[in-house]
Amino acid sequence: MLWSAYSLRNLWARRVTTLLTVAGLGLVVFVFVAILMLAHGLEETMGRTGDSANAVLFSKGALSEIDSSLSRDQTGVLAAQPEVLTLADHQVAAVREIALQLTLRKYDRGSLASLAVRGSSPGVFAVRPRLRLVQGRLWQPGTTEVIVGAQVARQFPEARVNETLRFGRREWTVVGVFEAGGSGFDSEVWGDAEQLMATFHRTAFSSMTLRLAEPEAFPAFKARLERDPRVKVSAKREPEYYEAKAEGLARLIRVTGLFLTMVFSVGAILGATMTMSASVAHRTTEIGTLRTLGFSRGHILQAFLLESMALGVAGGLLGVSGAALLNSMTISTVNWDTGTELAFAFHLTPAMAGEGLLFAVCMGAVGGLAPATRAARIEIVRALGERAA
Amino acid sequence: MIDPVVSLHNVTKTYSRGGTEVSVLKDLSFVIPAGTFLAIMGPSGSGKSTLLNVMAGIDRPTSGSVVVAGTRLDGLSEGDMARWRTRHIGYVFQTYNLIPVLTAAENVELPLALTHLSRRERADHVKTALRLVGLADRMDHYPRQLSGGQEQRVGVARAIVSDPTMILADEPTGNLDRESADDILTLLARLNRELGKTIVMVTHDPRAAERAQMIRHLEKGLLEMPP
Ligand SMILES: Nc1ncnc2c1ncn2[C@@H]1O[C@H](COP(=O)(O)OP(=O)(O)OP(=O)(O)O)[C@@H](O)[C@H]1O
Ligand SMILES: [Mg+2]
Repeated sequence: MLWSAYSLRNLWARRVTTLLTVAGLGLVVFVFVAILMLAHGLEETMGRTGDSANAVLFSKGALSEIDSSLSRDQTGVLAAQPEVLTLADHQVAAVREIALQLTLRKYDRGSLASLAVRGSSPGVFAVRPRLRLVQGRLWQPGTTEVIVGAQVARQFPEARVNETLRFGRREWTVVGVFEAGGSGFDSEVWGDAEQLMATFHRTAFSSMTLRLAEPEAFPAFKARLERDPRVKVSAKREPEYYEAKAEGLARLIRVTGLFLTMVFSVGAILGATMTMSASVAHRTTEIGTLRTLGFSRGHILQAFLLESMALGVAGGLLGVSGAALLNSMTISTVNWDTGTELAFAFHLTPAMAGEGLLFAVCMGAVGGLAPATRAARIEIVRALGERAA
Repeated sequence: MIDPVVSLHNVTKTYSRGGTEVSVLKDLSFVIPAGTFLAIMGPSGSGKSTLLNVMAGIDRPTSGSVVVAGTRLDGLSEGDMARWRTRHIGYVFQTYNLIPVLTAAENVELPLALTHLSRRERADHVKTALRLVGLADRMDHYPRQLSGGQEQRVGVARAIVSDPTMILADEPTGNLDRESADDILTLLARLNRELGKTIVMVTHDPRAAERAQMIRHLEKGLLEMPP
């Protein structure tokens, strides 16, 4: 008790240096936690995209929707599979879709932005029942009407109901806005598949999404289709399919982010080392006094390590609090896997806060180790001989 | 004869500085009986502090044997020596050496942090020690809020709080005015007389030395024989 009070009060006694050191440590922790939040937010967004009762089918060997192609014949065979849910109107819950990436000039700043456009059919809302149209109406089949995801509506001023988007040398009228629960679909523009295929001279679809009557039937369904030589498709559950698309970007964020954090942390650790070294130099006589009273080298080591770890804890709390301010903030970035803009939210979990704190304490301990060791090693008589006053 | 608290045999201490050997303590042998209040005098550089530190177990002689409070110090490891100091030595510094971030009471409590006493017992001991030095009303003051004389009284309280076998003081009145110095000397004499503490005090003030029962002079590393 007294021993920890001793360490903490010494930090307080030098509060300016302490604060600067804590700020340095805090900044690194902030960056560290923000990166974890970013990568996690991305995965969460993509993981929320889709419904686990749905299966996405794409051509065998394709890495993403973009390089997958399914012919009309193939899609016909796939839609006729017995596992597919039949709707009240005797239609099957299946949509064949075409995925496109377009570059658009944003009206406001004239900057280029990449946009994901999906050609689908109105049946899409039966396949993805969690999606809601929040404004306007669905597009009419066979027209150049489109609906936009909530994030697109937020980011592109021109993506409003009754406004037009220009791509593929045609004008597309926005007739509705849909909400996809913060998933990747929110960053897409949807329209009529046939119109888009004609516009972009495509003869094949990219993928097909089916809603299964029994979600548990998926493994058997997948196994059977993937073995079927006539269709040549791969199947994935919809959320897994979209999550996999974000994996590369999440990994990139983690690796570069953590590398950056490591570089910054060297600075923060050196800061802690300098602060603790100054503290040891300033308190040499005090160390001699404590040793004379019977405190051992181990006690001295402990006191100074405790002090630098407390710096770490304070820095950690500061950094995590800073990161908590980012919580639920939405940002948009380019998904490198697909090249399209994707909006997602920062989300702080208790585990990340814990990791941030642990990281901070480790930085404090590493930074304090050398000065604390030096403090513990000093000879008593020599320490007492140095008059700090 | 009463058991000696300190017995030194052929103790030497030499420093080698730039190739030349400097002999600070030259073959010292003497005993200090329990319950003695001894003053060690001598000119500056004569080795008084060195001798005191050897007895306190914070410095080691170059050769010779040092037995204090029944323990031979030469064989002890650093850790054992620290534990031994906790039990047997109370040390009073010329510059008080209170910890600035701790209150008077906490400074006094510090040596008790190394014992197994309960919180309650520690508080009792601290109060007793501070009352003994007349500072019961200054418990919560920080060193910077105390006068030099008061700081040194806290220093004495810290030296006696764990009831050590012996109190060692290196010029305890060196930084004090006449009046405060008298208070400290009176306090030490009382501790010796009423509690039977063995006290060894280094000083070069003859008036301070007079308050001890016995005075020894250290001259060029040799202890002058008592008359
Ligand atoms: N670490 C050291 N290295 C070399 N010489 C030292 C060292 N420590 C002390 N000395 C020398 O040993 C001698 C005795 O020192 P000591 O401090 O014991 O003297 P002292 O009698 O206490 O003097 P003072 O009255 O000034 O306090 C001095 O000449 C000093 O220079
Ligand atoms: Mg001296």
